[in-house]
Amino acid sequence: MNTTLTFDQMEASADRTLAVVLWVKHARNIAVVIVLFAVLNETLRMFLRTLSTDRLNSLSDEQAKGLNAKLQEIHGQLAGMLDHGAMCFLRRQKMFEWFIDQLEERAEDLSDIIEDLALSYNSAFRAIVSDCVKTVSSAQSAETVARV
Amino acid sequence: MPACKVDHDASPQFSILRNFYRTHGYPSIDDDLAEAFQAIKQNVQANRCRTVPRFSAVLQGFLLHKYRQKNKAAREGARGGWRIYALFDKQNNVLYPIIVYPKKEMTDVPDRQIIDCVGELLKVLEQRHLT
Repeated sequence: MNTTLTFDQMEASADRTLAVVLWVKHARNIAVVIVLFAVLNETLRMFLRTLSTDRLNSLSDEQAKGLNAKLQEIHGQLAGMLDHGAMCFLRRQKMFEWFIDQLEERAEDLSDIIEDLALSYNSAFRAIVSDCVKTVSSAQSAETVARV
Repeated sequence: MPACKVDHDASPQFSILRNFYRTHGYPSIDDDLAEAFQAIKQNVQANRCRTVPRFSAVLQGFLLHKYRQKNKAAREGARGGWRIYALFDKQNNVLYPIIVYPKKEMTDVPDRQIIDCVGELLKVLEQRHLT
């Protein structure tokens, strides 16, 4: 092995080494982000599964309000993260696109659950639904009579 | 895929809201709803159907379903869009849409947003009852 290196050769070697170090650092950052996205996605998926209609049906108004406050906090953090400028950059990278789409889908599901819970203890909305039930029931009865 | 019949004329409230949004910046509502009902007729669980909890006391045996539909007039495709509430008569397999509104993206104050949204629904329905 030739042990006599010129300064230029040493400099070129240092540049190559730096390039490899930076590349590995970049690859590590990508791997870390992918793992974190996957963990967040799975955590949200499992959490949303626990918020089934049957479970939510069993809550009192007070419990529903308390739970909704927590859900809003989670949604706020999630929406803040998804609206961050860095996400626009990551979305353009094919390897992150799927994860971000999934996270947006979960945020939308969570938003719908929050909305449904809030509407369920909103007396004005309950009254609208109740009115609609009455009109649909009478339309059903009229149709049955007409058929007979 | 469980198919069902969709009766979108049974609820006058639904017609009122549909007409209101058609004349208030959402001319594509009829196309959007037609697309949604086409999918729902083929599969009652289509369009990200959810059974809305905590309304059984006022439903008289119906189930309250909630559907999402893309709003062609909106800039954002994935988020936002229409929300359609419908009563599902499981015994006769008929779905009655009762409420439709354009969902805005949820901000930091969803409670306020929901109160505003319900306020708008009430206002539209009450105005129509007065005429």
